[in-house]
Amino acid sequence: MNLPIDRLRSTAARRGERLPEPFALHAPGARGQVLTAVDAAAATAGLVPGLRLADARAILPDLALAPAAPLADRRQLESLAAACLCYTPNVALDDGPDGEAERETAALLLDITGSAHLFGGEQGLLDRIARRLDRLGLGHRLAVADGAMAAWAWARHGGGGVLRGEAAKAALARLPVQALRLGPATTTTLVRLGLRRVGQLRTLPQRALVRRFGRAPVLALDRLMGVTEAPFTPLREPPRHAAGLAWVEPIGRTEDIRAAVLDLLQRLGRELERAVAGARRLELLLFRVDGELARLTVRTGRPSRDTAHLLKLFELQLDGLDIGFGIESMRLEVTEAAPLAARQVDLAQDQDAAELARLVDQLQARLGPAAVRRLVPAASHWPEHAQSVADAAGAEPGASNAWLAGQPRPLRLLDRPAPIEAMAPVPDGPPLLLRRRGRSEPVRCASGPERLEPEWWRTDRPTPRPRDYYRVTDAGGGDLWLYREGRYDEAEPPTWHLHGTFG
Amino acid sequence: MADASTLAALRARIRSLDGSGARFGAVRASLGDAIDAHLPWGGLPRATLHEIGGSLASGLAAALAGRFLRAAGTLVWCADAALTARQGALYGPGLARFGIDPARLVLVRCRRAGEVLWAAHEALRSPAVACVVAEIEGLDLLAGRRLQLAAEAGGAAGLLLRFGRADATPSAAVTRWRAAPFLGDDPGARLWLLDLWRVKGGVPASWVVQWDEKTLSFAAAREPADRPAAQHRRAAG
Repeated sequence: MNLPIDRLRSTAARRGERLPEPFALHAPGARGQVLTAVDAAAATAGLVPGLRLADARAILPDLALAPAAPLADRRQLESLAAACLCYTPNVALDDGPDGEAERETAALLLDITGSAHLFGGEQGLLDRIARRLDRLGLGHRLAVADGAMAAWAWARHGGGGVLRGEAAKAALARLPVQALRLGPATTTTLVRLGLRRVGQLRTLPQRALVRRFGRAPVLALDRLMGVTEAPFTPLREPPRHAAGLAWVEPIGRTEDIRAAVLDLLQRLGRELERAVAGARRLELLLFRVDGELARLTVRTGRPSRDTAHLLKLFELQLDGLDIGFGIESMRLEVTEAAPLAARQVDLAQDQDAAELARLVDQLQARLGPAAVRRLVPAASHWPEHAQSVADAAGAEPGASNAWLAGQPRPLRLLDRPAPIEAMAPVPDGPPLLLRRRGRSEPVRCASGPERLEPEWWRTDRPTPRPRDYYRVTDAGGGDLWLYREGRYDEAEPPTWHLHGTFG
Repeated sequence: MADASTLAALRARIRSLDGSGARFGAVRASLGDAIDAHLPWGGLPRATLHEIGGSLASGLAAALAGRFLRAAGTLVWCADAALTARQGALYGPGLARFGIDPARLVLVRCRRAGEVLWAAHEALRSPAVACVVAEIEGLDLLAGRRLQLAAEAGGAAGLLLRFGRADATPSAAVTRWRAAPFLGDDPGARLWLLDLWRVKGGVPASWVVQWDEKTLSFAAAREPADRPAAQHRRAAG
């Protein structure tokens, strides 16, 4: 796969343009600009990735150039990997043996154990993926083999296609030593020694190989031949419970999607019941015809396998869903589960808690998890810190500790105290006049002060100044919470602020 | 000549016919003897809507919600971000003065006014909820009816906390209140004028009261001699 150039070519094609030929991408290297990817025309002329830009121009003066965009390439590969989740939940990005994959050979690894038969066998699966990549305008080499390393080697350096059974060993032995991915230095040395084929290395005594090159070649040989397994790190943890559906004709109507989700939920529900578990988090993957992936996530406050409830949580999100030209397959996964006994204890309080959890789930499904909150008392006398907000999901009613009582506190607190003009005839005394909207009005009543010292141990910067709080009734009867910040004997005169209202 | 008991029996019969009585369930919140006696239900009924306006609307909503929380259940308070930014956010220590336990409060912060109505609708239908406060600027009759049906289905009390201009547009609420400061002779008394300006099956009236933070109830204020209580009570309308 020549992903960077294919990506640009398909982007250009969508705009009705064509990439110029010969064409190459470049990026800054250790000794000036070097090529990172070349197209077929440039490769025929002898250009290879790693060549310096100046040399490349000397060979091909009419070479068209563009800067490389490794991040965009990576994103494309990741979205491709996400789209491959419809074939198997275990998809990995190939990062190469030293974690730095050569970019022009970007590869995806799919563990298709137990899922190939859903797509007409291994060859059928390969054909399906090939058609899809063709549609996207991406060049590809595909292979199926026993083990990730063998599949990679057979796709990259061998003939591609399905390679299984006894013939596989012989075929792999005929591959060039580059298939072992030992890095340029070791590979060059091996080739100089006349060891060009994988098979030749296998005939050497292991001990001599280790003494000369370290353990890496032996390890790579074992992985290639399937003696040991290559590490395989899926993009995401495979779910514990999953169910899927696929259609010959893409579906798109909301009722159809709803019916499909219900079907999947019922299947997962039976599975969860056998596992004596409930879902805490579900993910619905909708594979669109155009290769994009749409996802819906649903969280529950307490574990649940209630089909009606979970369906409702998905329904609340179906409205804003963009499904393009339709969906060809769908998978529902339980990404987080927790134990759930077969029958709930039938106490009234427990039922209330369950009902409340349902309501919170529904509100969060439509409005987002951050929209539904609880207030939690905090041990602080500083007004802004006396309460914190917590996620409402999973909270049990009844578990409470009380607010600090005693001093008057307003019903509503302004996020940011509003400056206000006030006059106190006596320094450190209560305000007698408020000036609002250009008019002075007398204060009906003021009680206080309540002096609050800032919590210097907190890391707020800058540390606030001490405040004198007054509960003030204005001329119209408004019940306000004001404070004076600072003191008269300081260099800066004190300022007045409105911090909240009582009514 | 109808005596008091005949009158009461007839009133009860009318309530059962127009559905404004039994429909709202047996649970009602007490607002103190004077107000309870005036309300046709002997208290403020749950499973229906009440509209609250005026400059002390938040305080009255918190007080009523606190009364409804005397029974089991949760309080759900729905507000949209724009209104909250203008009015200030609910403050836990202040809610505690109205008897609201933070463990029984769920705050819903919506992005738009339409979401407030949706959230209130869902919350009203939940059997786990005792009371729902919805902060709104206006409400058309149809949306109000939907909320009313949700309240009847779920049994929760719906308090429409209304900001902005008071107007007399029709509402689905069975009681409509206006709460404002009452400027009496004692400047330190903090009296509230509760104006019940519309009540289905009843007579509008108003009271001067004081919120008692210790008993968590309204106490009838001792009014100055030159302004008898009868003066605030308006003619039937």
